[in-house]
Amino acid sequence: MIFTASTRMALDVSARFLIPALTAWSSREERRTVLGAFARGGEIRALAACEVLNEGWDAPAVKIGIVLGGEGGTHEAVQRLGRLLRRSGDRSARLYEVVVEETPEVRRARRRLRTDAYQGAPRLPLGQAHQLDIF
Amino acid sequence: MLTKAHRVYHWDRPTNSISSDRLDDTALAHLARALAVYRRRLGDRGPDVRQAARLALRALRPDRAEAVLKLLEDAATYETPPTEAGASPRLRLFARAASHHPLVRWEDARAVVAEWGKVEDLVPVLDEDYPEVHRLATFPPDYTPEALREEYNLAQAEALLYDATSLTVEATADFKHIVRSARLLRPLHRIERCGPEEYRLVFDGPHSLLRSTHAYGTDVAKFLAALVQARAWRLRAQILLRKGWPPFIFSLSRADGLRSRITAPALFDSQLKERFARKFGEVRAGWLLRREGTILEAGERLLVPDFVFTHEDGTEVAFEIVGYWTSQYLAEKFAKMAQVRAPSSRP
Repeated sequence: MIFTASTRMALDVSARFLIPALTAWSSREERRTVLGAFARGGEIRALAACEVLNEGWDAPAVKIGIVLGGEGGTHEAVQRLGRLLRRSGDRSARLYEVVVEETPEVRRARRRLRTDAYQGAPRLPLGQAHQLDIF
Repeated sequence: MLTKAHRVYHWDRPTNSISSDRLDDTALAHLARALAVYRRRLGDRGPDVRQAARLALRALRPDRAEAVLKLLEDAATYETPPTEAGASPRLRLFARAASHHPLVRWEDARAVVAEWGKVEDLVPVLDEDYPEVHRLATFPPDYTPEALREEYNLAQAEALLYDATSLTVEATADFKHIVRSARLLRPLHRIERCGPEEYRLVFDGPHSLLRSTHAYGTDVAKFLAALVQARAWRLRAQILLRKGWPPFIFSLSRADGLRSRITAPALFDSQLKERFARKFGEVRAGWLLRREGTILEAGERLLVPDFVFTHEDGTEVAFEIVGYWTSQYLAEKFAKMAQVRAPSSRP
């Protein structure tokens, strides 16, 4: 699940990686079809979305989230984290946050790590995280 | 019109005052370049137009540039392509690429696209039905940098008023125009006479729309757009930026030079009234004649008579000229007149 900062970014990710993108402009039918295929797993295994899937959506099978373009605030971050923490057997979840150096994202990411939602979760220090090749 | 996300303001904690952002002459060249982008790129996709406009505005502060861009977008229209196929073609494409998910590498993506057809055929399939990427259809050819700057300055003031918890307007002219515009903000909480030819309109209290939701932002914006076209006015608003913060005072007046596209009130709205005023003169036999010189309350409505005669001894006579009339119109007029009372005086 790729969470983006803007509709444009979601569409760009969709075009580059040939995965569906859901935005505020997506029709109800497209949304239903994509979410159905995504929730079943296998048919579609990656999905990009701007704010539309931050809340009110349940897919316990989704266990990997990637945040691109920073996050507005702690509430948004917690909601996105919540999408991945739905119980699904004993599977654990991972949230990758791409933080661009020398931007306000660094400060926001540090502040967020101090909040309750992230306490106790194993994580890479920001300085080392950039060496990680997630693919 | 700007949203809260686009507003730029400056506040001063010691004096608890706040002011909306304004662009000065140095911005005109950048605005001209952005306008040229929109005129030149008719037919181009929205994201490309906006990106080119952002580049044209790169010398401005980013928050100002985004607000200017919003105003340019408001003036532009985009064409909606037929979307009968909707999302189906791209969903088929993604299904075809699904065997490579979650990470479709470049070479795999190329292979999937090659199976599909030409790359140029793919672009419309991916996002053409999104309003976000529609093509620029029209843009006003006569939109000048000066007009865009005026629009920006007014829109920033309007956006600050979205958080107004009370609004006071003092006016010494164009009462009819102001009262007509003030109806947008009803219920008007109270009106006070604070001088021989000066009235204070106060919008606050529990029933004021200003205390309600942001849905009324448009009405506040329309009211300010009309107010700035009047000849003599002052506005003072309490702005509550955040709950728990003390309110800031936002002051505006005619001297701030804000302008809008709304037609400025004419000195006379009919030739008959103009002829009457000319023939009577300003003063005659101890009576002073003033156009729209008073505001009267008639039940819950406000009434601005065409003229007021004021005698040397202080007597005031309101005078309304009825042009074309019917008996029903007159009956309604008299019924309204019967409810009239003068607003309380408060210096």
